[in-house]
Amino acid sequence: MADLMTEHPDRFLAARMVRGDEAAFGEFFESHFPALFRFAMPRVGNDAAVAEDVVQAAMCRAMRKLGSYRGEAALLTWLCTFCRHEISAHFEREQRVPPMVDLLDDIPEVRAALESLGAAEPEAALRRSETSRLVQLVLDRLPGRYGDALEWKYIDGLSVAEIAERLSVGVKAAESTLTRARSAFRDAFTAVYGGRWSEAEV
Amino acid sequence: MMDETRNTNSDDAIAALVRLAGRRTPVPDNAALRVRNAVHDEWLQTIGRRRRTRWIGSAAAVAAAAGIVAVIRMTTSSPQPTPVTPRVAVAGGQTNGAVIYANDVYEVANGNTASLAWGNATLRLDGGTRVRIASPSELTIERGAVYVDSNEAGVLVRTPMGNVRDIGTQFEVRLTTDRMRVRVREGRVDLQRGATTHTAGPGVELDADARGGVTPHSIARTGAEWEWVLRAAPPIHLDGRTLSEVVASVTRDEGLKPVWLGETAQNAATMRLHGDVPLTPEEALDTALVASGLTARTDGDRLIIKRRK
Repeated sequence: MADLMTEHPDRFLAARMVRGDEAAFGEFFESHFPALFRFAMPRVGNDAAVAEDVVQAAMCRAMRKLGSYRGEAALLTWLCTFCRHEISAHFEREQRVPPMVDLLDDIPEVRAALESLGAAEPEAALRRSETSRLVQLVLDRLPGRYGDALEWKYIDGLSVAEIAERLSVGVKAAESTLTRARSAFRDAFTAVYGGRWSEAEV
Repeated sequence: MMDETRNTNSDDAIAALVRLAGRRTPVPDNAALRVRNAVHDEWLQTIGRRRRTRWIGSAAAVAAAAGIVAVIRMTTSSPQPTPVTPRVAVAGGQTNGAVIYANDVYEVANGNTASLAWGNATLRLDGGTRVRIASPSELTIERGAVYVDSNEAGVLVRTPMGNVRDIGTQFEVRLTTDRMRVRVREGRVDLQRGATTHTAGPGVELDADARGGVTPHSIARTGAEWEWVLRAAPPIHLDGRTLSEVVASVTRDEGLKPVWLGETAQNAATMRLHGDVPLTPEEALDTALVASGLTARTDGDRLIIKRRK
């Protein structure tokens, strides 16, 4: 079980949920709902009510299929698949054309890189104007609360002790989380930025 | 030293990138709450359905392997038997119409369960149980566990470690080599050991040891310890029954109290159902709720029933 927990955290989380672990459900929702909501928003014309509907439908559908999740893709990637279907269904029902949005994560190479996080190296460099969005996408794709921890540290300027309090862990554990979060960010961003993340024009 | 410098530079760059990107779009709290509640409901229903599916699969496998009639092996020891009850319901979807006779011995193989209509009570037998039926209100456990759901007081369950008399209730008596436990879900029972009577009410277990000691404990009235009772329940025919009757029957077996939320749910409770296929209690509940446009979830010892969204 320890191996599954460390090597396949998403599979471990899903397995706990299938067993009816209430804490696992909370962890799942807190770590995935915001990212999925942000995934949906630009795809439904930034209409928050519609985003809420499609995300709710997608997550409910995912709950019904939870037993079939095998961990081939990250949980968020798996949820995004359901969300794409719900967005399409929404516009079909409304007999409307989806907004024409040119989203960075709809670029096949970027999507592949985001979904594999480290397994691919897209050839094209990304434009500076897209760097911000790319950073946010990567933060959303980091495991657990890593994205939140980095935001709290670098945007909110929280101390390690304050971050520990928000994560309900000790100071040492919070330091460790930040270290792993930075490492995960570095790896993920390198994967989608073609190995030149430190040269990004910041 | 080189590595430390590289890490420091890299950390600075991460800080700069995150600041450049700015805070991600926050999710409205009320939206998060609404979605969380809906997804949580769906999750609870899903894990409940999966648990039920496993039970149904298990029962079906047992029936296929052993045959429904073989679930209970009956040995008549009385040369001129006296009928004590007019019908016998066997778990797994059939009623074989057999008559229980005085001093019949019923034995259930490990892994199986069975249900009998017995006098004014329903009797469930867990796997590995052997009982002797003496009359419509008296039986002896030789080993294993029985669950009694009686409408009237007066049922007597004899064991080598004491006798249990109910006062209109739901209770389980489980006998092992050196212990006996009596668990009361509803009502009250008396455990008679020699000259001493120990009384237990709802949510109380009496743990009796071979030396004559009896220790009471508080127990949950629902949950895993009671699951075998539902597995052993006789099949339910929906046809002609109201939703509220089906809900009452299943929740009684599960130790739950039904709570009907909203006018729609209350109106649906009186709807008559159709369907002549015998169903397990949980299948019956699921089917009846879906047919009525309702959904349900458990909350502690309550079954909350409301309109499906």
